[in-house]
Amino acid sequence: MGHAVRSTVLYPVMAMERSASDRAGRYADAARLRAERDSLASFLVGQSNLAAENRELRSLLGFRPRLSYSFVPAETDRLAGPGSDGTLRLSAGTRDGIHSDAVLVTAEGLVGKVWKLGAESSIAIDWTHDRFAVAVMTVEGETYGIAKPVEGPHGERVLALTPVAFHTVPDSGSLVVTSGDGALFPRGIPVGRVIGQGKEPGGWQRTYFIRPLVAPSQMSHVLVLGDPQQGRSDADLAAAWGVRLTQAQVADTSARAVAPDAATPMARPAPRQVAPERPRPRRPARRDPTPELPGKPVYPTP
Amino acid sequence: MADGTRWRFALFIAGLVVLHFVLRVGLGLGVLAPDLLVIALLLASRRLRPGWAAGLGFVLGLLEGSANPTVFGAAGLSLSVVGYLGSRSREWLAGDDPVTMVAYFFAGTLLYEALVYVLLAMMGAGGSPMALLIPAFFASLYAAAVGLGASALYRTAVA
Repeated sequence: MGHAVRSTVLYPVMAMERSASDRAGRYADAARLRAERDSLASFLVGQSNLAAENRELRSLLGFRPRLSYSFVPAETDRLAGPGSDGTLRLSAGTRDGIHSDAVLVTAEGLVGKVWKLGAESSIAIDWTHDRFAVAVMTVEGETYGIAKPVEGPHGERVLALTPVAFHTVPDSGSLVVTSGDGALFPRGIPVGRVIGQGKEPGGWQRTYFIRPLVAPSQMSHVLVLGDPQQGRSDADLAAAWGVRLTQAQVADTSARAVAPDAATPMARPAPRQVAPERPRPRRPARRDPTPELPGKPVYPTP
Repeated sequence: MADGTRWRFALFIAGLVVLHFVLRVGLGLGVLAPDLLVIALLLASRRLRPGWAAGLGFVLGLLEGSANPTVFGAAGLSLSVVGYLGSRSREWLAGDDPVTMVAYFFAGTLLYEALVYVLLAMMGAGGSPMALLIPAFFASLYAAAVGLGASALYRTAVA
């Protein structure tokens, strides 16, 4: 119903909003845009070398080319009013090819996800929104958990990684990336860095604060991820940000989302190697070499 | 509603509603623009019967919820309640002197913000109470000042 009203009664206002957004993008701070362009250029140059090397190595090893995702660039505007904190209006919709729950990223890392789809514009929530939650892990794969927005130690908005098993202590400054659990966020997108420990919920688990890599002021232009262009949907995106994951992807990730206490996945003990039972050599049945002779069979003496 | 000024008043209310969406959504000013939707409803409620005022609130809430899906549903219900109470407020808030009108706009906007907050909190998206209190207080003050200016402008235009 909201979409119907937006595309009829509110259509002039929405069209005006789109053109205002275009104008804002056109007259944005030139120095900031130049800096972003330079960063992107260096990023792309580095990526092209890496991609070429990677392609060569993979072709040598017989692997398929590196997995990549399609994306749609979009501009954002913050929604105003009560309850609208952390809500963005995207300048792209289903006509541009974005789909429900699509992931928003920038060159720095994760921004949020699409919440409500429209034909020409959509509504998205960023990581500051109360409904935002993402399954994350540290780069080395030792700590897994769910990151949700909270008030940080100094009152600023940060993410809280919780619950983390008591024996797991991620280093301050550790990079946290999406773990791919729940299949909503692709694995390997940088989320933030650990900045300290929060209150312990019950003494058996820990909570860690994460400072996200993308500040709310850096979300004016985002990329909306689409489907993987080739290969599987659980593709590892860490390489796109120059991050190397040291933990191989676990095939079954659904259990960890339900029980994130399994912060450090234990190696399953290898089954005991039992020597296979050798078949006993069968003695060949003795065959009477003289069946044509009646009476007791006569065996030749060896 | 007096017949002589009915259409001019309706045009004035419609103008406030259009201006609200142009400023907040069209030009992307967000909270920098006052909540003219609540002001328009509060002004209209003083002239409408409670049922009509609640209906107008529902329609305006539908528009607001469509422009801002975060408050879809919550805005409709909240503005219906505000419209109904705004209409009933004539029974015990008869005057329309500046002080009364400022208090009326302030209380109405604060009530709207509080209702939306409570409804969103019931749906699990409310945020902290402090996140409501401080912005809502300033938004209500802003709306009260702009509402007083708007009603003064209308009086001048009609007179």
